[in-house]
Amino acid sequence: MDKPWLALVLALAACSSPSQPPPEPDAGPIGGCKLAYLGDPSAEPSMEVIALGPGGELQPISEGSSISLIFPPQGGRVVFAGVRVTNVDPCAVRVAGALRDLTTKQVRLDTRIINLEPTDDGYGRSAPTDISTFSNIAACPNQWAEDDLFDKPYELTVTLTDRDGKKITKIMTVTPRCDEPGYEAECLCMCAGDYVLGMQCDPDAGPLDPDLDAGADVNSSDASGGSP
Amino acid sequence: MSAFRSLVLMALAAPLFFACSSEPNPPPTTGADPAHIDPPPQGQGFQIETETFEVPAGVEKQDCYFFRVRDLAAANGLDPESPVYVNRVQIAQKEGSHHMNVFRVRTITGLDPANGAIQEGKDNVGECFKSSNWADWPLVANSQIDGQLDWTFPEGVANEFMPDEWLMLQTHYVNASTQGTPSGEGKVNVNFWTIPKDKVKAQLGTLFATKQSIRVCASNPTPSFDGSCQFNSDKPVRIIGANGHFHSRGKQFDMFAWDGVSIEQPPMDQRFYSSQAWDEPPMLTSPELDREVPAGGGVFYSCSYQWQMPEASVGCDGLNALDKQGADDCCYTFGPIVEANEHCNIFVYYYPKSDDINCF
Repeated sequence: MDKPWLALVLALAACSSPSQPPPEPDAGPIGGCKLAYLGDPSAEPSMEVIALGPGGELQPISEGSSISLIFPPQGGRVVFAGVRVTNVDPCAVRVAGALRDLTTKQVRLDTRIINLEPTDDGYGRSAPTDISTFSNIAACPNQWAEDDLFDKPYELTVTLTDRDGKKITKIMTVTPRCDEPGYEAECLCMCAGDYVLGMQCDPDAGPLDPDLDAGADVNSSDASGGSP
Repeated sequence: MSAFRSLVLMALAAPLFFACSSEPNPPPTTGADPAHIDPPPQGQGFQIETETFEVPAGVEKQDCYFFRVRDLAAANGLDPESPVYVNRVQIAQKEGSHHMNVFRVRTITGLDPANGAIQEGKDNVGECFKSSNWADWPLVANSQIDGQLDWTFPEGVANEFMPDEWLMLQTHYVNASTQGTPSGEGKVNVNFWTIPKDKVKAQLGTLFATKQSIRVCASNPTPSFDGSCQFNSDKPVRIIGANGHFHSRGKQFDMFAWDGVSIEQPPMDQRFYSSQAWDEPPMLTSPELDREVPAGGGVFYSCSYQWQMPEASVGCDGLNALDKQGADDCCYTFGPIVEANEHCNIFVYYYPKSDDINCF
């Protein structure tokens, strides 16, 4: 490089802010997904749906299965719908879960981008110790389904899409259950078809009269959406 | 990582979060106090306000103030025995507000108005920081912008409050490196202007949705999270107010009008809210925002993130110490601390009201 060019480069460098290189487009100086491909890149993906059970254990889910309504950290009740899959890139897969009311066709959904946890059989899965790797379908409080959200059939759809666009979908009928030990009564209350936000769900009893809740106006005209 | 080591690291890391994070704030600028608004005249509404409180450098302050509607009405020339109907909201805040929310008090767990009209929290400590305490408390009003908001609902649309209801005003100020409080002081005023009952044609409803099982990690640096929430109405409704909330790893926040039955993201012409500004997200209000949603429909929302190296004062060790899963993956997880946690919340206002809706 001749001197004028060198001077120009040095001048530009001196005027530019911080000497650190620009960040990588994804993870920056550390990180990024370094997981190896799962299975055969040329094969179609193979997937089974899994879910967290009442004791936090993994359960395979298929047509007609029960599926647990679990008390998550944020409250309410969630179906943790996950995947066990092979023949996909495990990095940044999109997992989409949806629970549908078979009567009204209304649906609750949760979609998220996760890394699969490899297992020693060539598969990857939603990690049983990490609820963020499951589709967190927020089922309750029930302000969307016409009937109770427990002990009735609902349609579960789970779709996985990997970074290369490989996609697989499973659709099945499942029966949500309020079967998490110690949390059944509250679940039965807030997942009931007639639940109204603010109704106090006592863990040791059924739903209380919402009028008894401090200041609740859920039975007043504003709850019906009509004019006062 | 052992629980003991986690606790030790957390204890060591917590004060470090902010020790190096903030330059001394400049002196307050001259001019009108952005937190000042005159209250409505007697008989036309009421004002709720916070004290003026200190937000020292390196501190996150989150306080909860309680007000009973009956008391507010009685003190402001309104009938304390009758519901009040609010059709205009004004919010004024000193600079540095991270958020301000007003909720209706419902199920009481750790945050109880009986424990005092003002319940303070600091640096993620205190009941006012625990979101489970207001999990089923319907949204009333919110703002994430500095300065003032003045929103009059469409003619005849009003939010009804019953005399025995309690309202909770929650204010969160941050004086750290990613967000500052220039004056070192916080202050919030909210005016609720009322209309007579016979002028009310439709009631305002609110929808609040949050994703709390979120992680933005070094090994999965560009995650996104999509969710949905129905209005639970058997007739069309109109969305007239909306804003989204995430922290500084947030890159794109979208909300769409949604039919309630489709699984895929709605088409782009249904998008009614888009934000790339985590610290001053737009607050859309009518008349500019007036979007019809069909019967049975709701809102589809999406939060996208870009993982970043944490502030030096936090470091990956600090994030890992806060990660309850102990993943050692430099993850930002759900929580209120701006520099160490992430959020994905939507606040939506609509009419005619079918119900107040919370999805989480």
